Amino acid sequence: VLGVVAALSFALPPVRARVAEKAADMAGGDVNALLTGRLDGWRAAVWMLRSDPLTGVGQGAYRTEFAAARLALAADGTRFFERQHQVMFATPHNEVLSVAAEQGVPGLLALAWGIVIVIVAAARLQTRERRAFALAGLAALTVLCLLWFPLHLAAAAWPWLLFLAWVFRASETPA
Amino acid sequence: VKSPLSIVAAVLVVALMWQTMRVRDRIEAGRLLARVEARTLAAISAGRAPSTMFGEHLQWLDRAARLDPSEIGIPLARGTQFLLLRRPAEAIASYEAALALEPRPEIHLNLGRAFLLQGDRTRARDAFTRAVELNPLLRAEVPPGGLD
Repeated sequence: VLGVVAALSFALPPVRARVAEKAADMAGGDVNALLTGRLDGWRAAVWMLRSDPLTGVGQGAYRTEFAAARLALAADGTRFFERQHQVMFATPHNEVLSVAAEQGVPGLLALAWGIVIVIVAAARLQTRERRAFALAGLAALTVLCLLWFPLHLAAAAWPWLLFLAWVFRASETPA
Repeated sequence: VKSPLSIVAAVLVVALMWQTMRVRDRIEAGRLLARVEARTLAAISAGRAPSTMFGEHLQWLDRAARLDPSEIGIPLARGTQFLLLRRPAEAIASYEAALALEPRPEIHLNLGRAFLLQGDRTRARDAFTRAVELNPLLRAEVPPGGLD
């Protein structure tokens, strides 16, 4: 599978250019450039969690608090990704940090509880095929949630919510 | 006596209807805002505007703001109308309302322009500085001497 992905990457010019750009960022040791500026959004989320650990900044308020976070971080000497054209983040591009920033520690605890019950439900699945499907889906969802915001977009969220609903239902259903 | 499940279902139906009405209002507000922006751009391109245009635009934007109070584009467009009308005090009030919704760098930039029009160079410089701090690419948009 990795071979097919690599072959396709080099066959398609825009993907090839992107891979070359990211390889140069990696060679230069610029992690923020490698992540296309995501560190800026993540640092802002951590700043918000530190400033409001008990409640977070409020549901949906990341985007309105981002400017204050960016200015405070810049004052502390943080360097931001310079090739970014859209400098204001509406979400941190990480669902865990989004919860941390907007709901604080209680939100993180609730999220941790949610993750545990999903993992327990997936482990309860009775056939190898179901378990493999659930684990593959959860792995994909984890990667997406750590680098993007699939649960903030209805069109991206609903298939994943359906998938999670299947995991819970199937965990209670005999094979 | 209704079962608890039917009560929950009824509440969900009411919430869905309420949300649908809100979406309808937001779509209408977006339509009004898009019309104002398109006509404003056309007027700027042509270098002239019908005498009634700004009055109509402000009325539409007032209506749009009632329909969707959280849409940041509405006070931003309102500020632009006042800036074009060379009424800096009202432009400043509109941009400050937009900043209260979401402090975007381009709003600070426009706020600086409004302060400059009002003759308040100190506050204009502060606004331009904040705009450039948030987005260094906006430095090219700052009027000459705006950051001095």
